[in-house]
Amino acid sequence: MNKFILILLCFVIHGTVKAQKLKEVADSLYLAENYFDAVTEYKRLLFFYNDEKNKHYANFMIGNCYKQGAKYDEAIEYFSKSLLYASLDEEIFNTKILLFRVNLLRRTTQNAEQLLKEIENDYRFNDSANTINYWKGWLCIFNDKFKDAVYYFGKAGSNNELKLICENTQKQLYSLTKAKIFSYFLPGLGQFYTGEYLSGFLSLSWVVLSGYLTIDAFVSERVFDGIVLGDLLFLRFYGGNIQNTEKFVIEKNNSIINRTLKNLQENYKGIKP
Amino acid sequence: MLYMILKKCFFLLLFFTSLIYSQTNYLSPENRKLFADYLYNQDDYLRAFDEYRIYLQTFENDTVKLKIGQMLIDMKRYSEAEDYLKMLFWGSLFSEEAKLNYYLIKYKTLLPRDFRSFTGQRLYYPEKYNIYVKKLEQISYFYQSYGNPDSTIMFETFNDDSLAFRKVKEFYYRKYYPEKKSVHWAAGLSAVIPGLGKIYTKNYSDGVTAFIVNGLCAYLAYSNFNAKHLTRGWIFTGLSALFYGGNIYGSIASANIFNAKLSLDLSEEISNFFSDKNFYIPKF
Amino acid sequence: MKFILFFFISVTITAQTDYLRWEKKNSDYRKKAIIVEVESNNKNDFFSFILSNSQKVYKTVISDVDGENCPFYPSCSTFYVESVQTGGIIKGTLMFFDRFTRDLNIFRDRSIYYELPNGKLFDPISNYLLKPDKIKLKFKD
Repeated sequence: MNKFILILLCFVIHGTVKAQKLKEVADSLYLAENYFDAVTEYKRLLFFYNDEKNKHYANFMIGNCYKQGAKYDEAIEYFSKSLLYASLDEEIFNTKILLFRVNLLRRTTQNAEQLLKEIENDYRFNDSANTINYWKGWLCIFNDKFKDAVYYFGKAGSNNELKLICENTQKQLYSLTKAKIFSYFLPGLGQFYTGEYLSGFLSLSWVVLSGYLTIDAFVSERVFDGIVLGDLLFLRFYGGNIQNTEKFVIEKNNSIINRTLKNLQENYKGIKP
Repeated sequence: MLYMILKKCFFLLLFFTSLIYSQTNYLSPENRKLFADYLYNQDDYLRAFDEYRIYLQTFENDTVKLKIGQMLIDMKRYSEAEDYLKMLFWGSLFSEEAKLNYYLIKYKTLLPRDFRSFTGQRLYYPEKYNIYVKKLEQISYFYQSYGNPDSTIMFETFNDDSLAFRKVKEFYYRKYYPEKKSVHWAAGLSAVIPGLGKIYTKNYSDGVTAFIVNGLCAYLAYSNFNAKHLTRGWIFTGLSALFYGGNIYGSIASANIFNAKLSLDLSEEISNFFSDKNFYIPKF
Repeated sequence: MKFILFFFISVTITAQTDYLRWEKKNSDYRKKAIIVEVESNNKNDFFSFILSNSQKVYKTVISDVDGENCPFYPSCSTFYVESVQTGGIIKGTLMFFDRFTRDLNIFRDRSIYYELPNGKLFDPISNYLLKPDKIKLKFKD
């Protein structure tokens, strides 16, 4: 009888070994970057061995596969499922960080910010302040807030490289407020500030000309003409000057930011979203 | 006695071994089918198709073939779907279901008139599901811009479902008796009162704006002539004429756009309604 | 000549299914730019040459300087040039004055137009040629 029970136990363990083998097959496909087939095998693992531990692991890896395939909606779906079955603090933390990273890549930065706040407010992760600050820095990069990114990378302790990159980017960026103030005071000056000299010169010329014509009309008591000239010419070109300043600042800043992001993506060797 | 007990234990062991072995051999055909069913229920059709295909290398299963056919239709892989469905046309319990899905493929791939010609030939006709094929025929009329189907036949075909009957009737009248706007009326109204033609075509804000702009230009022309500012008077007269002409032209264009929008909105509504209902073809 | 629109969006949302096998794809951190290209109906005669170059001068000296005032795509100047090239001077001028009236819409009612991702309203010349079969109500038509 004892031998019989012993043999039965062997087969139970054999079943567990089989789950491990299935996991290995799926992992090897993942490592070989065959993500589509890896998802199939992880789903097979989920179907045949759906204990809590496997549920967390399989959903987590499926999420990773979709993330590698740049299918962010599916990745978030599976990371969310894996979070439901995460039992250890480490599992919860890693899954939430990955959810945060996918939201960054998907550019749903508000969701990413919300997730990071949740992690920060969770007392279980008080020891992970450096990691949280590191990802806050990345969140600031994706939100175009390079000054704040410098602060958070500094707080994270490591990563002088990222801090330096963000500082350099911040120095190159044009200030929208400054440019607009320049343009309010002297039409065309905001455009000169952004290096658009022709546009600045034309703005200035039109505003001066239309201003002169408007004043001349009012001085000559041609009120209706003055109103028409003031509305259709002066205000139009003055408003256009402000609009153009804003447009040029945004365009140039986007170009600088995209250069930085491309550089980070291709050349930065540390952990990235 | 001991020998008998040992013998029983040995056979019990053999039984459990085979049971556990088949359960943990997840790549066995039976397990592949179970896994494929799980994927199918998750709408993960491509993976389910791969698993079912391997299963069919070992076993013949008509239910699986029908499922594959339906999945391939959803994935828009129509020629492969046809191949699987045709396997069921003869000698299968699901022959009629397969033929019905085959007609669904023809509906999706042929032009409306060609589809109706095809149904007329009664090739592989699913007699059991005759009513669904008739529904497809009637629905196909909504996807062509010419011809006028018999409304009696159309309404009778859908009178088994009150919502379908109501919607089909509504679509029929909106398609074949649309409330179009007349370009001549639009032009005429705008000629009499600038902007009125656009109001007639339900472009209220543009109509009012056209009226104000034309009125303003006319007034400015008049007041400048009165004040003996002849140059300006003629400038505003010219502008008035151009805005007036533009207003009439715009009203005609507005009527055309209104009619086109009517047609487009209806097409979209029809397409969405029937797609949501899977063209009234049941899923097996 | 092609008219090209560049604008940035910060969110990319796409419906995804696993109906097709997919491979690894490197993510792109950069902000996505959407390019909208519309082939214009440019003729190569002398009149068209004068017209299109006049438009270029107008754009450089006036239109690009007074800001984004036209809510439509294509812009009013482009609309005028193309309508004259397509329909002739008289028809083109009438089309332009109708467009200008709609641009002056005091109620800012834009519900009848299809809105492009950059906020401009899709209002092509083809809708005003008085040819019902050429009407395009959506950009992808």
